[in-house]
Amino acid sequence: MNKVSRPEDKNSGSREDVPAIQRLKADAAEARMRRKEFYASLFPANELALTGLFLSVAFLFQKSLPAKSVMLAFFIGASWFAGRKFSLLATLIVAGTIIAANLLVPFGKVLYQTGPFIVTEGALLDGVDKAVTFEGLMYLSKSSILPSLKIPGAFGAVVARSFLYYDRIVENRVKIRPATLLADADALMLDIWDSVTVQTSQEITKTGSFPEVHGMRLTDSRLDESNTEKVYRLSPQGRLLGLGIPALGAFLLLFFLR
Amino acid sequence: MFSEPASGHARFKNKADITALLGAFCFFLSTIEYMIPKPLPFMRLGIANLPILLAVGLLPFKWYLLLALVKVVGMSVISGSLFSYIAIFSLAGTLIAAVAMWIAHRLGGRLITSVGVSIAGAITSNLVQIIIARVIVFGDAATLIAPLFIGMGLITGTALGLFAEKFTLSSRWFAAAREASRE
Repeated sequence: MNKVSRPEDKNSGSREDVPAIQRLKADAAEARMRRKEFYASLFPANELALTGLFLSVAFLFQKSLPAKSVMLAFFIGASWFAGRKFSLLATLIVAGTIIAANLLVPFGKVLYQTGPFIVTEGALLDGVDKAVTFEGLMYLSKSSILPSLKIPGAFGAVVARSFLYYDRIVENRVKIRPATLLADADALMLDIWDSVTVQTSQEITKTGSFPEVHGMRLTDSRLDESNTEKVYRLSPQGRLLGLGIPALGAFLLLFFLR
Repeated sequence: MFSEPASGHARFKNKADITALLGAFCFFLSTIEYMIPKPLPFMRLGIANLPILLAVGLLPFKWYLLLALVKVVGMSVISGSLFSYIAIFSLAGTLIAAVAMWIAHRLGGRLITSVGVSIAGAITSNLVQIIIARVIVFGDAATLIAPLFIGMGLITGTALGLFAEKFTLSSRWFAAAREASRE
């Protein structure tokens, strides 16, 4: 008589592995969140953004490809330290697409040829330079822009309110089904509209229900300057770094623009 | 910026609130778009422009342009791409699409539906992004992907326009927001 295997038997070999993989993923996510929080507590958001701005100009005007590649490696490291997601595959796909597109217009010394496809030195170097620049700016930006960045002025206030609404949308439990898409979307808009606009910014301060973006809390200082709660308290060292890092960025900018 | 109410539960549904809510939906739709697999990493479906399309008949030009800027800056802060080429693509694509949709809506009047307005925005946005891609990333090869980009713009522009057309006619929120924006 043939043995009839139960459905769970089919997966019995990998069943033990699944929790281990999930555990590894959970540990990695937790470690990333810890890095994210530590990074945010180390650097003041606005000064870090200013430094990123200086460095982006220095990076753009860097003519040496090896130096640019070293800077890219540093930015990837900084982005990892900042708790940003890093995917080697996605990075390689984007870089590969840029290089491949540039190879389609050949110029310079022919390095390799097969059929109509020609790899030329000029097109290859140009493609690599553009790919390194594209990825470098991406990772520099990821490591220098914190979600707690405070945008000043009236424009910043509207952006802050948008984040508040966005938080409610993400939290909302209204289901959107393809069959009733229009009605569900309308219900969601009305629900969000009502859930937020009944609260004044003072009430939000009392309840402490500040919006979270990607797991990081925004302060109500985005809404009202008089009600500022610092979610990330900076250490004295962090404040010193806050002064030091833009100065370092400015120095690097001058150095590379010589 | 916001009209603060006298009592705690009074509502402040004004142009700033409408702009902020539509901006939040831009962030939300951008997040959804980010999760949809694309044949090319630079290709965007443009669904995050839907709130801007809805705002054409809802907000004055100043607030309308502000919404486009909120979308670009907010998404760049969330994704951390504020100083990257992605932000340049997003800024140019969004602003040119917003202006094109506004012009199409104003000039077309009753002769043009949301579908036409949406297609005008999608095509101009994609054209500008191809030009930028040619200058800073792809070089002359950018013209090779142009037909694919324009074709995608036509399809997504039509789909978004159809949705916006039906939504503006049936939505209770849209009717309430239109009333609030007139105050």
